[in-house]
Amino acid sequence: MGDLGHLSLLGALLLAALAAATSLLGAWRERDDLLESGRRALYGACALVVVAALALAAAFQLHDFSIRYVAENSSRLMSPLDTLASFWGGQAGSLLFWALGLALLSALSVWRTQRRSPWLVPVMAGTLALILLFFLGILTLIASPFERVPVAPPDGRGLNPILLDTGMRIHPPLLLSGYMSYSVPFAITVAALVTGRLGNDWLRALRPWLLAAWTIQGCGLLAGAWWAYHVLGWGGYWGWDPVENVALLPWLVATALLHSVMVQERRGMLKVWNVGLLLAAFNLSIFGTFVVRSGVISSVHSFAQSAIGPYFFGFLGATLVVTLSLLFYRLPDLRSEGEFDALVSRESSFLFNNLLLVAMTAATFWGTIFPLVSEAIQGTRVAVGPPYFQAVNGPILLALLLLMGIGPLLAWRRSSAASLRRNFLAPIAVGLASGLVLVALGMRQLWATVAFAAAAFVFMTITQEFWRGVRARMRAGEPAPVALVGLVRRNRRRYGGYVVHLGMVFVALGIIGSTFFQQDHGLRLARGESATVGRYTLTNEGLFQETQPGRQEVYAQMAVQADGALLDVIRPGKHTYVNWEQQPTSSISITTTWPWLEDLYVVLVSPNADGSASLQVFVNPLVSLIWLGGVLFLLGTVIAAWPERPRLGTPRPLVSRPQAVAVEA
Amino acid sequence: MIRPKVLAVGVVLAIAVAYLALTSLQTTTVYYLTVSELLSRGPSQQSVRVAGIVAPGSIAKDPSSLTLRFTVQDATGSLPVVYTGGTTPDIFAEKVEVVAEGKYGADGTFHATTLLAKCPSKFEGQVAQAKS
Repeated sequence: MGDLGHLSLLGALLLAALAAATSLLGAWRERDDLLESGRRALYGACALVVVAALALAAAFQLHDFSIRYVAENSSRLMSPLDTLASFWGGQAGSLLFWALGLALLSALSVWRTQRRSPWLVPVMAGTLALILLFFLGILTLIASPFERVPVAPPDGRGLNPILLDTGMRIHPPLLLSGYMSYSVPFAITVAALVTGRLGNDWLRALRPWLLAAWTIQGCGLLAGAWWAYHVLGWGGYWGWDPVENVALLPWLVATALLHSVMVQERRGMLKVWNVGLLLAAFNLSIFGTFVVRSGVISSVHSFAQSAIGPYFFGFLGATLVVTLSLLFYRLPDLRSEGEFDALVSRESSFLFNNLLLVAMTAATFWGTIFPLVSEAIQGTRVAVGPPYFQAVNGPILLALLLLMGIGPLLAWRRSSAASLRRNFLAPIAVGLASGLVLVALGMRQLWATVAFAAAAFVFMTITQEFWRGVRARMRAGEPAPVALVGLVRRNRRRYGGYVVHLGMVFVALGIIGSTFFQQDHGLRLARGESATVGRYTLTNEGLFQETQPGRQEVYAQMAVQADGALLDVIRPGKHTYVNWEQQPTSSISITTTWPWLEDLYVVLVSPNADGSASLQVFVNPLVSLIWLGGVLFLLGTVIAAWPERPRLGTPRPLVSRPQAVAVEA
Repeated sequence: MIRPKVLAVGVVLAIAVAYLALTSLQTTTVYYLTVSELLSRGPSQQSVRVAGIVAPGSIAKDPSSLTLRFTVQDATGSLPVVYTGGTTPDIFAEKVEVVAEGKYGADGTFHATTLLAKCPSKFEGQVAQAKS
């Protein structure tokens, strides 16, 4: 298996080099035969990377411990599913996963673009082949997952128990795929810049890939938050750690792009800005991989510090120089065709949304690299913690939330006073009313109240849009559910966008609730003793021990009562895995309760010899809305990305479509 | 071209964010020191982060108050730490590298509110975190 994998990677390396050379030479000399062989070489490299990845997966399942990576990241005791996750448990496998995703996406995007916008393909295929070449070079020469150990151990070391979780199975591959998938929009941008065809065509070719990258990475970030919340046991889901921040940066830039691209499509403006953002998104994703893998910024995610850092830095520098020169060379072709007429217009709201997102990117980037800057310039080592990021990004996020409600209701160019009244009366009323209700219910935190009111306002704007659309169709005689489905189907981008916005409102509600209203108590309960936290009474019913294959479990059985009635029996515990005795992992108990969607989050800090349990108890309101928001986010992007027109070959409707009022969100 | 009014809003926004970022950076960054650096600076009311290795045999847990006492050390110095934040990172143990955030009190003890542990870097992809 090891030899097969290694040889496949070498073969893929050669084919990627061939693909890059023939594609770029063919583009330069305009020779179709070279271009054809370039594409074939790229498909071939893709196939060989798939073979290498299958070889590694098979080596894991067959417990081939003669391969160092397999011995270090899996053991015979692990279930086949966990063994599968060991693939990306370490650095070399993560890089192979990166290469695998990149190879598949490259082949798919080149194949699809060849059918729709063939003029983009030569440079695009060449660029993708070069990126693939870089990763394959690292994989074959510096960090090979197929490296052998002299003597195969009888059993492997196993995966770090903290990584043995459903989250581990989905979060790293999603995040890695997210990083990697910015390569396709980047390659299309480079192709557009090189060919100089900078109209709207390349944006149309690019949009689905950008949306895909953005969605995958968004899901990766949410899955990471979910994993941290359910596994790490500090009661939170986002710690503003450097490794988290660098993953957020390209996503923020891509969010800005998805909006500003519409301004370019519609009004021919912001062209340089958009190209700049596209280049930034890709460079930030490489920067993210570099920071995660090089250890230049100290982080609680202490990955192995390895030799690949300088290579990534070189790659980053080279892409920056090449892409900035290209952009500079094409500046005259990127002149704006329109101008911002009014402050209160759709395009201005997009502009402000972009400025806010870029400001947030810049502030987060600055906070993340500040320790490096400080050490280099002042010679003092400092740490920038969550307070900085909360202080700066909190207001920006609130402004973004408000804009999310305002923007979609503004008209292009300028909005009349009458339309403003018509669109904003109800949402503003709902927002103000919810603020007042919250104050009446006893909420005294100013910013929490403002933020909740803003969320209610945005919620109402979206509901109003759906309601108006549905009502118009119901007047035409459609029953409500049919009207809703028809409405969304006719304007997928617009209503998919609204569903994403709705998801973001829920995420915002969860963040506001858990940021402002988290309760945190340390308790020690003797056997039979009770304590009250908020509206919950916890009773320690005793400590228990169980032996499972590969691990020992200790848990405290606790009865939870809320308002006098038994709510649940929970078992927060600690698991000790074979080979990892020094590092027991917490098994956190999370109970979500009605009506405030509070998570009762209980961590067993230590089971004590006298039968008492030391516990850390958090009450986290509204956190489940974050995960609900994540589901809506995914649903919305799927709606928005679904192909609008029926494909060739499927029968088209005989009757021409009714002229929809073409307002794209 | 961009109309002056639109431009003005953009500029105001940029300045506001830059101002916010710089002032927050001044008030929220903390020094990141080794044990010996902190010892040579002496006690202070300022919050700092200190990094060191947990001394073998120094960990004492008081289960009734969830207080954790231990000593961090580096090549040249050692410092007693009291941590009252509650949860400890799963990988917290003797000889593990930890980063504690808190204040170096006049009593010669470091009063930590946050405790982070770093994994022995032999194995990859390890994550651990605990917060107060």
